[in-house]
Amino acid sequence: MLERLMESQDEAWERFSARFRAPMLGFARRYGLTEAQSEDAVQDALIAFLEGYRAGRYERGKGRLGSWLFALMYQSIRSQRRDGGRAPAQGAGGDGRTTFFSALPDEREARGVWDEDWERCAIDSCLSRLRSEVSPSHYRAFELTTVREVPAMEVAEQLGMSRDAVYQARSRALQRLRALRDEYEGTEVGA
Amino acid sequence: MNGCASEGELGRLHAGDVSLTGAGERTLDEIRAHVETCAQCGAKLDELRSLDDLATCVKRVARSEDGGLSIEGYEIEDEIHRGGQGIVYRAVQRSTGRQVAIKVVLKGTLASDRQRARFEREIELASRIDHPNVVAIVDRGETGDGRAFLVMELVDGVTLDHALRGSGWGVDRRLKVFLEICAGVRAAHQRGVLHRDLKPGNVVVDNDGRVKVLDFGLAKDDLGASVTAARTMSGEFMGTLAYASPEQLGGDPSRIDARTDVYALGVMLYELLTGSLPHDVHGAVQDVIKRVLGETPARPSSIDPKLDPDLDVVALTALEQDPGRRYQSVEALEDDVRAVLEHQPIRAKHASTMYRVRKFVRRNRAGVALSGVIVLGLCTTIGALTVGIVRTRAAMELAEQRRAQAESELAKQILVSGFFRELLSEVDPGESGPDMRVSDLLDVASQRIGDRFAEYPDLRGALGHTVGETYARLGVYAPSEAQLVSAIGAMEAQDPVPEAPLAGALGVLARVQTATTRLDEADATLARAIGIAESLGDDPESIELRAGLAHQLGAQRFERGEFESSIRAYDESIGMLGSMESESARRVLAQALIGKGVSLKRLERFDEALGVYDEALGILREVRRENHPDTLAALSNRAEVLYNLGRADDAESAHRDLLERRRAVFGPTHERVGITLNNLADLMRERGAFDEAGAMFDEAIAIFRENPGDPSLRLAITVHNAGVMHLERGEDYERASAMLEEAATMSASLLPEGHWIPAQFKVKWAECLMIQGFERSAAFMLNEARPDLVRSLGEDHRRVAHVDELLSRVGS
Repeated sequence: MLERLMESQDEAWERFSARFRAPMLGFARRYGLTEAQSEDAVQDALIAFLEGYRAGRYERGKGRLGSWLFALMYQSIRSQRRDGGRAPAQGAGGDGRTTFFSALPDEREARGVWDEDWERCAIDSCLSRLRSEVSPSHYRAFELTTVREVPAMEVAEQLGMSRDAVYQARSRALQRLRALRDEYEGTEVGA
Repeated sequence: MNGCASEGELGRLHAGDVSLTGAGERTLDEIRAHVETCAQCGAKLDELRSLDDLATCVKRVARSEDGGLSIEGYEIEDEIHRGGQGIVYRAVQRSTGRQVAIKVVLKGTLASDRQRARFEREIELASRIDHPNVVAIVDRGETGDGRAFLVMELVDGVTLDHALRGSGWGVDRRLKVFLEICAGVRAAHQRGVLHRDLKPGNVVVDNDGRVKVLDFGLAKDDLGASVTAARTMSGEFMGTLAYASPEQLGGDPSRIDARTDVYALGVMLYELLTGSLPHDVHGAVQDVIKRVLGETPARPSSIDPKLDPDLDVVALTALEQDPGRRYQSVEALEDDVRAVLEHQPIRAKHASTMYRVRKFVRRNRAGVALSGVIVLGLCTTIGALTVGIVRTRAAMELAEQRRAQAESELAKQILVSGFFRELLSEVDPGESGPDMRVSDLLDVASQRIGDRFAEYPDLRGALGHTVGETYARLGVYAPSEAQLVSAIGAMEAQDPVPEAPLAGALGVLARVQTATTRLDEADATLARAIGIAESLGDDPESIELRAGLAHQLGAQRFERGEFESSIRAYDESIGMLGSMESESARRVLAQALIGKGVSLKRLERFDEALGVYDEALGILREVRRENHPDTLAALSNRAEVLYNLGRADDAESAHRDLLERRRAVFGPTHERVGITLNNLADLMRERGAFDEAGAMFDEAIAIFRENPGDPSLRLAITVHNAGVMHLERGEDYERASAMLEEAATMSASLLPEGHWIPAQFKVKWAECLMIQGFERSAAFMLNEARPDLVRSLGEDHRRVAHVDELLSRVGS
């Protein structure tokens, strides 16, 4: 996806934005930006990303896409806060409201929050794709064994499969998931 | 031991799974022995081990979504679906032992306060839908970590698209299935809930063959808004796109109403009839949209020549590009489908003069209308508050003409009279104390109507309508809505459905929805009412009904900030009523004139506004008593215009007189007293009498904060005005800023996005921020407000020029 983005095709850009907007928006909101400011912060970060990407500043060896986007988002949130002045806090109202300056992000803590959100979004997105690619019974076998840790024998009985087929479904699903995860992070760039 | 290990065997080895399932299986030791000597199998095992971290990560993420999911009263069993909006679990309700489906909304789906509020509101309404063709919502709440959840009946079946495949259903069977879908959607519309995402995947056919529509009330993103972002998506999105109406694809959420669901039903009907979609949805999204917006689908009978040509008309009418040319309600669509099934003429084809004549004859043949007149007169110490005459609706249509009906009518009249006699004797102010209010009487009445008239849906409908309308007039909206919804349900249950009263009740419901700032729901309800009313004849009652609905349309357009359009709707109402002489028609005319005046005032056409107010007051003096709420409302608006015309002394005197009258009529804490206090305070602010203005604003704010029935927009406006006063007074900018911020935030949470009121409030707040030295924040606010003001007022409006001037001062 990133290679096509390099050529600045709108389609690739829109897909890129659509995929990464959610974690970025959630991160901005979590740090007290209003809806409008969050949108602006994400927009600014995405534009900065695009400019940086086109200028060749994103290099695979320097880290994951998520790390780079974090740096841009962190900067963008700080900038929104600075520019936003007395803009309203989310959920404003009453004496107990959160003031705009009450939750300045500590970078290390913010990074932890970002990584957690990023991972969740990445895995959710990849699981959705995986689900659409494999048969319902194979997905179910993978889910029951991996997420629920149901013994393969029970899963086999439940789904009418052989036990070895359950193990096979699980390992293939995980392999595919890893490929999707790599794709999500854009590590295919330049590979 | 022969041959390399299979993937399954390696998986077993990796998991340390020692169990054996049958003869011929290799043991773990045998597999291990091979792997140790086979480089290829060893590499595969390493590959499996390398996936462990990922598996752990998946488990952690998946369990953080549903992890530790525990919902009081339910035993979570199993995940049955994971979609874009949430995860659906199979669960058992502990108290009843029945299986249910629980949908837990994903974190982040309802990120903003507005989304959460909309979700809450829609679910509240959807949970009231009790219909065999709608998957019932039985419970709702929040999980421990703050995610919203819904508990729904669990339907054992398959979605319609699956059910259709190879079903061998004939056309009649398909049409009957379609009618069941329509019945479910209609029931939802009656309760003000649109679906917005109807498609076969949201319809389930259970194991008994019953059809149920899923996912009502789930706050959906407006499809149009997501079209741009989703250009590259395919699969599920394209599946949704096929059922999206032109107004959804156009990205204008304000145009989405009940007819949007009619369009989606049209697509489903087309698909049911022909097995294909009306438009080809293959290819790039923008090409698909072009096709949907630009091409008329092929006639179904051109695909299957055996189809009745009337079905062409029905399907293509439902699929009209222009919502105004579609069926105006699901019911109208249903009627025509049923007509085809019963080999009767369809309405879409035969909406001719003859058809109207036939309808007129049928309606008048209905004959005896229940016209018992019951006078409810109550005095309170606050003032002589007379509800006036509460009539069972003269226009109510009763069922088939039979000889026995006369006796039945008499029995009903006796029943109604007895009911009110009993009610009045129970709530005698002499016994109930001096603070007895009309709403107390209505409370008692509304508790009993359902039981007392359970066997008489016609009476239940008529009385519920009357009680609901009276509550609405008193500004008590929650019980009003409950009564109206129940009345509408009762009317729907009659055969034939009493169309005029139903349209009237829907019109009142739209009024309540408008008053509680639910404009999308109000538009859907009103569209349905208008659709029904348009099929009525040209008798005075029907004209009056249509005029009343046009008046309501004007009010709704006004609420959206569409003032010119609002004036056109009022003019339509005024035009219909102009030559009518009945007292009721004159009252509606006066109201339409007042409404028009308010819109004219907003456009700053003050002279014209004063003219229509004077005309309205002339009529009201004929048909209403001096202190009637309508008369007082007209006087209030007229006083405002006097001020706008520079006649400040006249305006102040008129407001003070009005304040005394309203206190006497409504009592000191009624919202209308609050309105007058706000208006008078604002006038005193303009005249520089800040102390008096401040005291009045405080009193008005206290009234609005205390009034549970108040929709809060009035509170937002009053808080804004008080903030402006503090700003102008220049003594306490912090307080001014806090009030202006509260007003802007509150109004934005109540009104549709892009509405002019929050925009105007932001401008004033920006002015305050500029004085305080927060210029960048001010610029931010001004830039946010400008496009909304331009949309409502036009690029050339002085308020827009004012924003531009402010922006130039902040260097933006």
